Amino acid sequence: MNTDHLRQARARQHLHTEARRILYDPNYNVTLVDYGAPVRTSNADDRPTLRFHVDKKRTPAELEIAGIPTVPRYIGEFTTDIVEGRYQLHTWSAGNSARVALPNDPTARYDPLRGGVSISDLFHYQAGTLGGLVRDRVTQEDMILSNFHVLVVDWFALPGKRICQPGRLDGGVVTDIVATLVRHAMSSRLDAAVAKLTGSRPLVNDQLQIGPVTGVDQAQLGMQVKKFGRTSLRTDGVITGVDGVTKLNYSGLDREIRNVVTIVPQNPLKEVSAAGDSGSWWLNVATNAAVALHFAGGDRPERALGMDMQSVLDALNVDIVTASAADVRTLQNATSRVMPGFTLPPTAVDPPFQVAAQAEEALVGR
Amino acid sequence: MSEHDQHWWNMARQARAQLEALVISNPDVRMVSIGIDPEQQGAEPGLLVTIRQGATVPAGVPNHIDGIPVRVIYGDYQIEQGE
Repeated sequence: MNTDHLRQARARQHLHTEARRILYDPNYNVTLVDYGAPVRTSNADDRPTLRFHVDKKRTPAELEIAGIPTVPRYIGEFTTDIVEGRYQLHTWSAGNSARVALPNDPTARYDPLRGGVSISDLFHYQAGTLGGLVRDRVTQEDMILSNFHVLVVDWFALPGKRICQPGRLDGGVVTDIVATLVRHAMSSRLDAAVAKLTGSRPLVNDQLQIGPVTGVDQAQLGMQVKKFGRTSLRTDGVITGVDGVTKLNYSGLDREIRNVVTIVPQNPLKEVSAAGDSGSWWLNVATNAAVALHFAGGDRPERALGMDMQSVLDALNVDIVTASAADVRTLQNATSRVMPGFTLPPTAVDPPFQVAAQAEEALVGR
Repeated sequence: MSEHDQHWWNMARQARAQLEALVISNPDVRMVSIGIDPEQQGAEPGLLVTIRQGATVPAGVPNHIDGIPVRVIYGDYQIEQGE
């Protein structure tokens, strides 16, 4: 890690503590705090620093008259900067005539289903992420792999519990049922579960925005990984820990989870995961093979936790269904329905995956 | 960072199991793993004990186990379902 990286990490700590305190103190009239290039003209140090955005910059005298406290000149090693900026929500309103569903919106209703989209059980007003397509090693049935706390939730839940897409939090209702719960792996200390597809909508091997999964790779320290989750969308990270055992709270009970992989953001100033991303799959950037099943994270410092994918698959007795020519054809023919009257543009398939699909098709044809 | 041979990984896994037995019951300990300190990514891999923000380093955490360094880092984790 170079010194810039360390400086950014220290800035991030300040953004979560002192800078956040000022942001939430209404006396300061600060609208945004961030870490970025200084806009001041009278300072020789032009390295990125902690910035406080305000509607209007005022002189010290004006601040005193208005009774507004001044932002500290220094926070830690950083010389603070004041930036003018006025922000508002970019909301859609009924007056907008050209409503177009955003491509890759994971909270939409998808047909066919794909990894990275919103999902939940029918009885809890929440949402997690549909991880991807797996196949039972015994029955050969196609299934969804996600987390225990996304598909099962309650300790007393029984097989057959109904799963809907999108998740209840994103508008899923009884007509959106796509799968039924089969089993989970909490007895193996893994927050994972599988649900059998009902056949109402197919599930294709094509992670939203990041393409088909090519297989399974073992997590390695320093490996660059990516995921697409229901809340933080695509994020990129680096594996910094493996073989972990952690304790987390599930509905009031502390449970031990094993085979944990720790991931930090590729860019230390960016989020790596958020609530709602549970169930998404971390893929090796180099191979697009699945490395870990995401299930938890923390903000201070920003880290994501996944479980070693091969351990999850073995515990649930399933295998990942990798890219096939049939998947590609399904994708090419797919029309994704978002909601009545709105059409979601098909996801663009990255060129490398088109090449991979062609190679796969050639193999299938032999 | 992953150039360590299989022998090192076998030792590290055994050492992690020993460390887990020593500290996992401590309520401030959130995780025990093999890895690199995220704040010092150039550092050599070792054993990591993650403790809650603001907690004091638990008594009895050794500096090394079988020659593998032990580091204490801070972090709090929650499951990430959207509610």
